[in-house]
Amino acid sequence: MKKVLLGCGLVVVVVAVLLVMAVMGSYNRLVTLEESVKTAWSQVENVYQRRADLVPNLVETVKGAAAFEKDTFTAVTEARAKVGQMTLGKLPSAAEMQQFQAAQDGLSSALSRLLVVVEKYPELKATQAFRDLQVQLEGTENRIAVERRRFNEAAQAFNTLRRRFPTVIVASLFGFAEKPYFQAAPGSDKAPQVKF
Amino acid sequence: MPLVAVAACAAYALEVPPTPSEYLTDYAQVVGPQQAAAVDERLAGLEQRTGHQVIAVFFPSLEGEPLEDFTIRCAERWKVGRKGLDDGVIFFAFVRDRRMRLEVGYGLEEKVPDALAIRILDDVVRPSFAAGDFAGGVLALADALDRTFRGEAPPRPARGTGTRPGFPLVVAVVILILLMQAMRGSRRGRWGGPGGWGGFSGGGFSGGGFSGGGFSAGGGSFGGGGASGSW
Repeated sequence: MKKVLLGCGLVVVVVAVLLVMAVMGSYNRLVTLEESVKTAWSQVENVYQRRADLVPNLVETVKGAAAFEKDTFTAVTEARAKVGQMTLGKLPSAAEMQQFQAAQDGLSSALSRLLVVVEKYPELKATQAFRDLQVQLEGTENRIAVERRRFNEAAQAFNTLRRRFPTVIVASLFGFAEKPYFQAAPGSDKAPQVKF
Repeated sequence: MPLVAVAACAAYALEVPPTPSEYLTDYAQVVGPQQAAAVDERLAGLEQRTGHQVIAVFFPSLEGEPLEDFTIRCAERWKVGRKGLDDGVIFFAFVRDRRMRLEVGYGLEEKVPDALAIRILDDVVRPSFAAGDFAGGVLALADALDRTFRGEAPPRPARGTGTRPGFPLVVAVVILILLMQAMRGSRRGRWGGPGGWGGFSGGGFSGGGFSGGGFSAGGGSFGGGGASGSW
């Protein structure tokens, strides 16, 4: 009788140990992927910040030659202020992501309108100062596109692991939330037209 | 609908070629062999002196791919520049499209900001390219980058990864093993025969880094910095 009990006990212990190891493995994999997503997110915020930092310089440069376009300048400055309020510093929830994207898209369209205005002032377009800013803006938009793509890839890797069985059990047990993606705005598959 | 970029599943018109093994890779065949050797030497010297890896790649055409999309895919695959320092620069030229781009690694974005990159492309490379002198354009680019890099700390060893120094050792061991086998198996007279030997050493190692020249990427990463131009 005792032997049977001992045998059963041993089996239970072995199963328990295997279970714990499996849970540990899943948990650690989730943590690793989540850290990648966090790193990717901070890169995204970096490059968006870089764009926001270009705005004051851009406005000043254009103001010099196109002082009458007050509305456009106000729009850009306000859009930038909105973006400044949205620095998250941590991974966004789905709702926060939407707000973040909306603020950034607002700045994108304000910048587009500003650049359309510049079209009317060819002598401004030709200045070295403006051309430098134009290059910086293009470069920043390119970096934004790159970091957004990398974020989406990191988020996808995390979400895929999180949804798989049996990792999904560990994920919900420890509260690993699904990561939101960057959405392409409807009708736009390019960055705002910066090229002249 | 979420637009999730899954690079592995997309079908591209232009595929990323394998990591270059030379400093100048000419898929468009616009640079003659002597000129190519000169460019190779200049860029190799640049890496030796400054530690930063600069390579140039010529393509016949973009095949309709967006320029920056393609170049960043290449940069991510090839990983030019030292790992951790991310100090690589890749010059791309697409001959039929007459477009070029300087892709600058994360670590060099301060030294070679976008505004400087476009100026180098417009003022230094474009004149030569417009005249059809592609090798000259890349040499001028190398000089411009050299001037930009200069004035910094003494250069570190060009290839810190350790794979290159290991190569000759592996080859020596393999030769030893073959020697021992040859001595064991065959008669005295046949050991000196050129047939088996010559074929082996010619085919196995002719193109690779063993020859002492050539480029090997250091594992650096890129963030999309640099500038695009045309001629």
